Amino acid sequence: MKIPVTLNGTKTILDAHADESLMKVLHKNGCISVKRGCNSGFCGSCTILLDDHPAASCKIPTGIVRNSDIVTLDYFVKTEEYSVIMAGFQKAGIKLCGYCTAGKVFSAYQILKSPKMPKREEIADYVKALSPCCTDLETLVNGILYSIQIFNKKQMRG
Amino acid sequence: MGKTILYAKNAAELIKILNNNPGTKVVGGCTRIENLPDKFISTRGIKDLSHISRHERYIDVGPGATLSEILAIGQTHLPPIIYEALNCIANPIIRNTATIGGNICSENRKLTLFAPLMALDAKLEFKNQTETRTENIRYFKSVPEGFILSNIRIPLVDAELSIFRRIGPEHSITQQSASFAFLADTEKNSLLNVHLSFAGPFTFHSKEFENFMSGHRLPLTQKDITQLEEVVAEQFQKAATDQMITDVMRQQFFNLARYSFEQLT
Repeated sequence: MKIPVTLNGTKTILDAHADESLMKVLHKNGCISVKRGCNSGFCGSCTILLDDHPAASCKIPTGIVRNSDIVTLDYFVKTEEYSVIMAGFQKAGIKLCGYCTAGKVFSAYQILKSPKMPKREEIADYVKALSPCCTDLETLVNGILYSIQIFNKKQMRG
Repeated sequence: MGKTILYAKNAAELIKILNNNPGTKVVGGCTRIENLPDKFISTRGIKDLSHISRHERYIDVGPGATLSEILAIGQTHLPPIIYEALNCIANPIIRNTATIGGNICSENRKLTLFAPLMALDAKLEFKNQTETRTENIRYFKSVPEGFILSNIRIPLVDAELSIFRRIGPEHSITQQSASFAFLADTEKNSLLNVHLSFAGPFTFHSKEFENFMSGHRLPLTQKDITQLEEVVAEQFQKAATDQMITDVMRQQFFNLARYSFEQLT
């Protein structure tokens, strides 16, 4: 079936079965940043932004995303938020392996968007289930905290 | 592969589509993608089924509201057992798509929110083309034929003692998953209101037990606790046949019930 969506800023028609996982469909459509990991929605490898919220694309049937706005990491890397997050990660000494990047970056993005300043424990709670393949929890939390600092500084200057 | 999805713009259209397409099942965020029915329609994007409105004594939530949206109401504005239960479900990425309606209406077994909603005496509202029905969640088995779940009313109860525990693996739903909730209010050194509920392979709540426990003088003595344990065990055994529950889960329930009573000593 034909499913119209906005994929990475471009209106696109996805050709897929209604119950086919969005992860597979996006991969078929050239979004190679969407990776298959645990296939249970926990590791974060298949994370995308669905209507500006991080979502596990392995757990989403393509049929339900009709008319939604989908952003994958392939496109998100061009945004200012990505630069801010990566600057924070770099400051914390994080070197992402590439497989888990989407989960960690999009989780950081949602925390960054949060209207209130999250506590360290809240951030840890938020990201604790993500795959720890290349980054331990404490370092990841530091990276997100640095990202928030950089983001706030930029906003104040702006 | 090859399942059929239908789309509705609003609740009225959803009801109409269900009537015209027998066998169609309503789903939420579809996070249990492997269990999708052959013909389904999602509440995703239906605005009048995704409302959240706060009132003085209750919160009205549409079945299509995501768990993250409900959590965003904030810890101070949600009953503590609901806040705690929501935080126990999967992870934030899944909670961005999973809906409260999906959690309540799950077939085969009751999921994490069911026990706390039972303890709070939440009310479910069902609609069809001509009629609106309300039912206490304690008596809910499934959405009546031709109806949709249109609203969940969660009372804002601020109980003095509020206990929620998830049984089974931390983030996933398995045969071992269940939830337990206990609420107690006191007045002048005696128990005023008590709510105890369990949900998983079956649901358990006992008005008889709650009435028996209410009125007990505080602090509870060891003798009281033993007596309460015996009564709750008897009621629980009546509700749970051996096919429904493993010995481990049964023991976990008894341990949690005892732990709850001990908080009142």
